[in-house]
Amino acid sequence: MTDQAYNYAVFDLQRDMGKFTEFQNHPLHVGTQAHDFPLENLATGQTTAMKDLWRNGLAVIEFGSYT
Amino acid sequence: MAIRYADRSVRSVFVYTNEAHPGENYRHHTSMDGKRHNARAFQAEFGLKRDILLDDLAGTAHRAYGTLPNMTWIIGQGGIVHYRAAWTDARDLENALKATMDGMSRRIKDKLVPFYSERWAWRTRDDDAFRGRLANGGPQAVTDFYDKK
Repeated sequence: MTDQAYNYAVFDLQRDMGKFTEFQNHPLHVGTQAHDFPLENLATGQTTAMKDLWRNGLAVIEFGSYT
Repeated sequence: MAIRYADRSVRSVFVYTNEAHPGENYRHHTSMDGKRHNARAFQAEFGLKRDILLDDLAGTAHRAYGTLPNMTWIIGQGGIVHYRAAWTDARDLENALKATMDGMSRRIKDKLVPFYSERWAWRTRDDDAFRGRLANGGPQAVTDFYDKK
């Protein structure tokens, strides 16, 4: 998937529904090791490693956007 | 919920992704500045207290976790996935969080062992609210969802 395809300008319902089906077979399941990526803190601009979120306890991670 | 569990070593964050339903008011991202702008507008409108963390423009983290528009994950200390949901529902999430914390706290004393389980969860669908959210993004967001079905 290209960056442009990821940041699509027009919503496509069929494509969106396909993602829900694919999620059921996604290899990152309960019991597996979560992926670690760098993320930017909106408030501070500093980089946070995802692994730091679960370093000292549970992490609840919601993904989403305004729209 | 994030505040209620914060003192129990639960870190809650919101990872900002691509725009699920871009419209005239909140366009798809072509730069990190555009992504930051939309994330700040989102935070201001909904008064989010949790940290908002921005994925990169390519959606590297979002794509690795499945690319769904509003999924939630619970990750245990050390990085093991305890819960993943294709949709964020506060009731389902809190049930899972309580069960996870309960199991972990009683694991030794009660000789508990975890096992893998799957099920459908149920949520309320509020079409009026959803349409209102789409309209907030702009007329295009409404048209793209309802008129192209």
